[in-house]
Amino acid sequence: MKSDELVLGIETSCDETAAAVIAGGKTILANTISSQIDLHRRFGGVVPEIASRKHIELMLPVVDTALAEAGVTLADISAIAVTYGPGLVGALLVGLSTAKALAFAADKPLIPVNHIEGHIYANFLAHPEVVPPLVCLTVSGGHTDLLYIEDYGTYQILGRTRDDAAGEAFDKVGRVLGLPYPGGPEIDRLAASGDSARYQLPRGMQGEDTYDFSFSGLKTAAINLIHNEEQRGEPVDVADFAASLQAAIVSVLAEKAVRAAVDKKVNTILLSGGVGANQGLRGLLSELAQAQGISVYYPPPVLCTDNAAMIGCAGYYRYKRGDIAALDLNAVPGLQLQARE
Amino acid sequence: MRLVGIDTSTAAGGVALLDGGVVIAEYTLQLTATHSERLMPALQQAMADAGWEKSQVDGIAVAVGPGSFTGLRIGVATAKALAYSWQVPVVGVSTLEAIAWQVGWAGSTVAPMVDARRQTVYTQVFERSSSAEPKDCPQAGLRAVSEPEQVPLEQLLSRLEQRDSQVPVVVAGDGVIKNLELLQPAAAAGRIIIPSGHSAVLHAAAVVELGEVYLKQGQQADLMQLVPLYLRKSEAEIRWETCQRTGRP
Ligand SMILES: [Zn+2]
Repeated sequence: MKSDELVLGIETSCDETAAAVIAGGKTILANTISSQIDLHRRFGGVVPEIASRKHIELMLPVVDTALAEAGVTLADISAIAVTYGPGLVGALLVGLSTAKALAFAADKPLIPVNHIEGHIYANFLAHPEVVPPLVCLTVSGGHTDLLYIEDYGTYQILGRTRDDAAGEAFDKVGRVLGLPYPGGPEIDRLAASGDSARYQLPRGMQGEDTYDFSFSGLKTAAINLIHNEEQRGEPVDVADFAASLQAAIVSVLAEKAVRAAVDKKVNTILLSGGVGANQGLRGLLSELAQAQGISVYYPPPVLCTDNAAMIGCAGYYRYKRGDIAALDLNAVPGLQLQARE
Repeated sequence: MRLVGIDTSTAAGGVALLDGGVVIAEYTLQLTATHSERLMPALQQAMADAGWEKSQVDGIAVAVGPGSFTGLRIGVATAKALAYSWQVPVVGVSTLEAIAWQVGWAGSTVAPMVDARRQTVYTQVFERSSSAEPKDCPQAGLRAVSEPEQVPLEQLLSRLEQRDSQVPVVVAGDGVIKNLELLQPAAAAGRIIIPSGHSAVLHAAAVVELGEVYLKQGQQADLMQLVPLYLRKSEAEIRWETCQRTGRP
């Protein structure tokens, strides 16, 4: 197998319609993203049916643009990688149906990619010098996983959330605070000018001898506190509350990630997922890691949002391991990252 | 002309291959497995059985709706990607027109019914017309006399009852199968004709036959623009608009 083989990546798991062309696993030739975030804002969240309708409008033009930008045709592509979960089922099915039909029509192998895995691989695109073994903290509105990656394509799950994802806690509390959708980035922005010691919030499973997380207790406590203060006629200071909430969430995440890296004797931590863009998390994680001589990597903003370059990258390494899907591949909305040796 | 026909608009569905105006293969599946799981394997199997090379396909016909939103998107996304890869024309076929085409020979008035849930159907009424020649009219000599719409089944039935003509109306589509009990009295009174079993459900064969008529008429779709015909906004938009209009949540 040549090392410069091209992979076409396709991603439609939520509200971005995306396609990309990746050479040799790590070189981005094209990375086309069409975002729908403005369409969903007035509903206060992504509306699955609206997202799916937009995907079917945008999918083929986005694929066509990506191929044109890369200066290649479908015939030049070695494999087609597609997100088959987790995500919104109707949204996933647009990208998946497109990828399957392209793979069949052009006689290309179909490579199934987990969206969470894609976010992890965004790091290898952004920092080609980074190589396993390493520890990866991947956090979003749908998942919170701490992983040990011994080699490309392998995963050992050290810990994951036992209830809510960290991003869900951010977004749900953000909504109660009356912040615009999505709440996570808004809390991050406000937290920069707030006092994180003002409000006392629980830090689920911090210091416990497990790599698992728990955020539902924090979410409930935060929402109750906001309502209680409101009833007392003293609404919370939004910036101070954002800072307190952010500190409670990121301290647990950062502490466990660094402990895992030390335990596994690796000098690299990867950060990924939507919450990986959180400035508070990046700052604290880098600080704690540096004290242990560990380097922290995260993707640049363009690779932090949902994109297909990361799917193409992860797909390349699956392809190299011979992981090819049959044409009956279905979308799996609740797909979790599976342990793989 | 060798055409691939695709229908994933309702729970039944599948693929059909048309060669020189003749349906030479049709795979219709009515299973719990989703279209996502069974559409591509069915196409692969049908083409292998027919001995078709991928380079021999001249065009794609796809049922664009109305029907199940998710099902329609699976079919339309698939059809578009096939047409893009093979660089052949694609044509969107209305499920209502395809049903009328399929059962139109049996009567002079046809009211296809595609299930739209809660005892409503997507429908459109077609009538035989002397001005409609079978050779150049898509609906086998039938002419649409109403626009595609979503209506409560009761309302459609009373509308059909108020027709001047005493000739029974042929109904078909998954909306008929789903609402068989509601339709039985009208059938017993001789006002409607319900086809038996499989012939009441849309077949990909009808989609590909009608698709060929359309393509010969030059009604090719713009590949990049082709989307399903939903006939209904999303629930979130309907709620949002009601809320804007009434000022109530
Ligand atoms: Zn994502």
